Amino acid sequence: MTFALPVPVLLAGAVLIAGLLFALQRLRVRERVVALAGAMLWRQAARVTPPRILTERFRRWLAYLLALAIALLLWIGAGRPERVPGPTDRHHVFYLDAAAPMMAGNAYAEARRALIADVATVPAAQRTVYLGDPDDATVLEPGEPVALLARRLRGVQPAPRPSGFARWTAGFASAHAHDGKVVLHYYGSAAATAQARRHLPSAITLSPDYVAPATPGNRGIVALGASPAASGAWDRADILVAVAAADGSTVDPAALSLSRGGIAIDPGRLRAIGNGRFVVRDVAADGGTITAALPGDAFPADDRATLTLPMRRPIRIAIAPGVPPAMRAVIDADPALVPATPDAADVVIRRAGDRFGNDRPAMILTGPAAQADTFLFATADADERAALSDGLDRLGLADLDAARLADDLRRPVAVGFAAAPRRTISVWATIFAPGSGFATTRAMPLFVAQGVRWLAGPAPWVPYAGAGRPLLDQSELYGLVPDPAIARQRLGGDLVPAGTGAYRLGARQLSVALLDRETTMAAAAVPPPLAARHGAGGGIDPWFAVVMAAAALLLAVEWILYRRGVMP
Amino acid sequence: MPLPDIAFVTPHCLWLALLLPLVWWRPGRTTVAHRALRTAIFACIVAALAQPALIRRTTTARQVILLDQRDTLSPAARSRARSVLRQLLAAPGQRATLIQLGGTPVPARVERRITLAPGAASASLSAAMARALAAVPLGDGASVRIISDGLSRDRHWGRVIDGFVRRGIAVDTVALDMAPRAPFISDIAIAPVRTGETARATVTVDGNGRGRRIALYTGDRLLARSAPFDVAGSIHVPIPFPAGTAGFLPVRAVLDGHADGLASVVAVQPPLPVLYVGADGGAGRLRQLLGAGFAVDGRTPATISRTTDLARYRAVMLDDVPPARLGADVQRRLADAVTTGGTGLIHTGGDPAFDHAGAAPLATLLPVVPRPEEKVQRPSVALAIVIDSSGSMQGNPLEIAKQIARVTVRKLGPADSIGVVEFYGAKQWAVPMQPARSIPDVERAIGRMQANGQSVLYPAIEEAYYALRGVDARFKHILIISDAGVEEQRYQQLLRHIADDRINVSTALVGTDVEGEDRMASWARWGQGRFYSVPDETSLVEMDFKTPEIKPSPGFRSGDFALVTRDGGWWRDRVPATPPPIGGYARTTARPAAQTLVATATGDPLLASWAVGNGRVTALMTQPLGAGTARWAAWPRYGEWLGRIVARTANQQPAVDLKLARDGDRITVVAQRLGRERPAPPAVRLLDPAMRGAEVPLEEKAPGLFVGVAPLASARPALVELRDGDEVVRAADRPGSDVAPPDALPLEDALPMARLSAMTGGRAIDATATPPAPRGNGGDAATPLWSWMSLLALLLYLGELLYRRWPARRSHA
Repeated sequence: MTFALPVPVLLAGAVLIAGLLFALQRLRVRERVVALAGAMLWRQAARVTPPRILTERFRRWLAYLLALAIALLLWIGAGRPERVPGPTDRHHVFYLDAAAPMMAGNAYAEARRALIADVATVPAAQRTVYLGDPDDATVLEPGEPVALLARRLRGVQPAPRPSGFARWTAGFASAHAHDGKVVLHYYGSAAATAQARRHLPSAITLSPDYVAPATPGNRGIVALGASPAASGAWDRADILVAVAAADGSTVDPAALSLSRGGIAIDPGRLRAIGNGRFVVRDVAADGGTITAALPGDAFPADDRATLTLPMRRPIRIAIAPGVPPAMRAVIDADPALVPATPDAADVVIRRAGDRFGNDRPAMILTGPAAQADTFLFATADADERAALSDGLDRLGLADLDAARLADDLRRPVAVGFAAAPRRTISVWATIFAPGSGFATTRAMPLFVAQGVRWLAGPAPWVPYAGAGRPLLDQSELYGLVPDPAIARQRLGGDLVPAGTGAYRLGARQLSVALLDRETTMAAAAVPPPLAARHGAGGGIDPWFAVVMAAAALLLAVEWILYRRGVMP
Repeated sequence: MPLPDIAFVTPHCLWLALLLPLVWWRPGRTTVAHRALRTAIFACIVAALAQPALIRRTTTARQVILLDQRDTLSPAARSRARSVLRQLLAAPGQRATLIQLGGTPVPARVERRITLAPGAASASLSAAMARALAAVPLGDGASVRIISDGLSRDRHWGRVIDGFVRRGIAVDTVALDMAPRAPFISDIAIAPVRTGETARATVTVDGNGRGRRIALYTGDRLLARSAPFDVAGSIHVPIPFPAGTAGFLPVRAVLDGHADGLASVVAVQPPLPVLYVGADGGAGRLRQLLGAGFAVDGRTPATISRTTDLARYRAVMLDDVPPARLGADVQRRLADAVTTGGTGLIHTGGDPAFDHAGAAPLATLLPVVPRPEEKVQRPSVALAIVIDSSGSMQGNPLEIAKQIARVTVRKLGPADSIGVVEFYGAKQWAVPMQPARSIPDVERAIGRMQANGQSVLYPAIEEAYYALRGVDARFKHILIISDAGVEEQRYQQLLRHIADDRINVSTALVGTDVEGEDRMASWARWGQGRFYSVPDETSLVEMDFKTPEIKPSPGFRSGDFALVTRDGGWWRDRVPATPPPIGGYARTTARPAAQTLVATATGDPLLASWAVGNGRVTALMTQPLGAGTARWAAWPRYGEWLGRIVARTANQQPAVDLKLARDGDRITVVAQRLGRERPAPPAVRLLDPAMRGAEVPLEEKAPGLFVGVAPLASARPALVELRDGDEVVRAADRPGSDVAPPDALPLEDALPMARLSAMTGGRAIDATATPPAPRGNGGDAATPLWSWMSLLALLLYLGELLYRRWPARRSHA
């Protein structure tokens, strides 16, 4: 046993209390009124209780010992006794999962109660408590009073995202591989428990102390994503919705409702393609939202999902007079481009010196006298310049026969990058001349088409956004450069939306949904009965409670004895 | 100021307070004050058992300091880091946690200390950042200070940074100078490559050095060596090397002067599927020429049907096949495969291949048109004349029939064939089928015919049909001359069958029989020929089956023709640009938008190409396996040259974009279909070095987008093979691609510390400046009250004892 007070102070206090009680024991007992009938008795009373004496001789050893015991117990209680961890005692780590599996019924509230009760049984120095939120936050560090636990968990609610317990366990096992034996108490779902066991070394014992009950017959939306339309329409997307039922039953398509910006989509557009998957073709990729919903059930986390559609509107382009016919032909043949006036255009193609949409991103036809580089890409964003330099093959410039072109032009061919307030591509006009080594190659139309798209601004393509899963950026696959907002925000790592709802990505927002088949299917799985729990070894930390209970008991006994006159 | 909260650890103990009234039960000799004292003692004990704590919000700033002391830092940088640490801890009234990454423990007065050993897997900068986030309890505010050069073993900090931002924890960063390092290989990237092609490894070298070289090995075999290069910081060194056969090729890049290298794996894609349509045996020869980079499937034009799946081929080569021989339906499907599906079409051959008469729609796809020359053709004809010499023809009708036959025969030439069958109850060849070299002899044989017997025409027509089937001629005809007084037979079936075999049947009626006229007109209609009525000598007709044709000629030129390369774009690298002189070619004119790649010295295109829809069509105006290129058999690089043509024309877009991403001991597979849709999902296997594999379960996340996660030890290479119908796509990832060794931290994986500060609202602090005070709104703190309650109970008890014993003023009853 150990104490919050230093042991010498404790001992000194005990001696002081013993002395004080000794003095009190010798103090003459408070007077009593006794009615006496005769003189003999008066004499006897005067002999027994001399009227002018403060103290008397020490007597009633048993009463003294009882009072001393009571006082010492209370003093020990004031010293905050705690059990000393033995060499075989293990550290206890508690993990309260606050993910989607805990959203069924009262699972989270029950788990929270069980956690608080269990944590109190472990000495403060021997426990750490984590919350299974997106950060796996520390709730209670070793040594912190357990009273903080409820306070820090106040307002925390489970969120619709997959459990991160297995992933956290893997990291924990790696970080604490040499920290000795640990008991990991888990309050969450059976599925997460099973997954976590795979990562655990023998030094860590997993004790599932609360397992969320099953929600039989659960069904949910497990996929909602968009791909460019198979029809080839530039500004359209195909949408996939996948629904799963835990009991393996087929979900009636009529039960699935789809809406776009709050307006229901005609169910006739929903085409079943098997295995609970449905496709809606040629939806306008205008940055709006698509919501899929199922009738609510006991596990609401997966009954609704929203997807933010990519934005791919037609690019308005204005072409100045004098632009080579080869470029015009490419523009005319591109279904993504629509003609516009310079004032309304997203991109203009003009010659250097033209007064034609000069405040617009432009592909500028220039000459060797004006610029040394054959192709000069300018943008304000340094990251974008770097991404562009990595993506020259997607601009068709990797296929460019520079030597041949240089022979044609009688000049060296070079690609350059520069900083500018708005995007421009300046390129020598001579390379578009009929019969030139560039105009007749497959690189030319690719360069013009992709160049115009880059000038118009990136058209990011994030096919889906699942909570707790790294964001998948397909912008580079379908375009020229990665999504600049993602590139800026990820700092080279992964970007992981923590929960459902709106996720800010630069200036725009993505809708994040659960979309996790494992969670949907596991919600209905009946958890196995809890095995023997791995407690702290000594069960509840007894010292303080025992001391105080003993003190209370002795006080009660003393009170009874006193009332009966046995105690002085 | 908000009131402090009282929290109870075991609040259920408060139920014991219900027992307190027992103190007041049967009070006996006790006074009210005495009972009140005793009640207070018990109340204190009950309260202590409930373990109350005072929860309050502190304003003490908490800071978590991540101190980099790894050996990769210079001694000066480590010293500078310790100096910054001392300055950070100098501020009074703060709670500090120190997370030290590497090095010996630095003396510091902190509340808590975590030391991450440099060699441990958990000792990366990202792991240290995760520990820093975890060191801030839920609901507490804090500043995190990172003192480091930013170099990291991995980039697994996405969730941590998100956590900093979400919880409002500002991260201040102090960037230390990076120490100069000896050059080392930090990464190898190898672009997807097909078997037979040249792979290109991009090796990233970090550090500082001059005149270094990299050698690339597979096993102990040297694949390629880079040119010498200098490096100061980081550099990408491209190294081309032959990809080898399809599968997974382990490679190892070794920097000169180093014993060990960095291992990786090249995923070599399967050969391009190519359909060869041409003569039997041509596919075998093409396979030999093209080598392992192409999987050639050979067919003859006759075996191409509407059920042939053209979409499974990346390129189709028509070798000396006139488009007309494919049939309109196959042509349309091939054109659709090119324009819509992106299939490449290589149209090759000599004279017949560019004979476009009636060849639309395929002819419109070609980048060349036949040279507009015209020539008169007199096609060869095989003619079988069937003359009715039965009794009914006796006299003038037979003479008229003989006259018709003679006039017709006179039109034939030596390249034609003639035969005359007479029938009079039995069939008989008056003139057996023979070349029409001696027309007078044929006329004499006709003149010898006499009328007798019955009219039995059916077997005579059969006889003529069988005789014509064995004759080689451009056009074949049967001419029936009769008075139509013949037996009833199933002529319609016979004549239609003959017509289907491209033999026309014409009829000439001798006489004026009305029924006969109807009958013989029907025969001519069924036989796709003409009907002639010759009632008397004055109505004789000249039937000329030798009508000359005027048609465009591709103008195949034979001889010895030198070649020039017009556009070298296709012939970069080591592939030779200009082939040796050619033995013959078809004269064509390139379309205006087409690209002439190789031409004769006179300017006639020999090789031309253009894009059509999603695909590309290339025309080679000679036979790649025939007479035109016979002398190229001795050209050792012909296969390489032809392979480049096929590769450049073929649809090279992968059917599936396959990407791998490691995260520790897990690998994520992302497969996006780029080609046609299929009902079944693709199958992905994660292979071990022995090519045994386990299926990776895939989930379709968007149309054609499949994602799967599988466990994979970090030290193992990821070898992934995807099968989607006929398509096979491979991807590989080198062992430990997401975690660098502790002594080889890549510059590209460095944490952008200033941007991290900007994102989290922190400050990028100059290492030489005085660091600002930590920020943060403190956090929750708990003061346990139960010991105080116990002490209070003790004091009350002592007071009660004093009360019980202290002598008081005596009173008398």
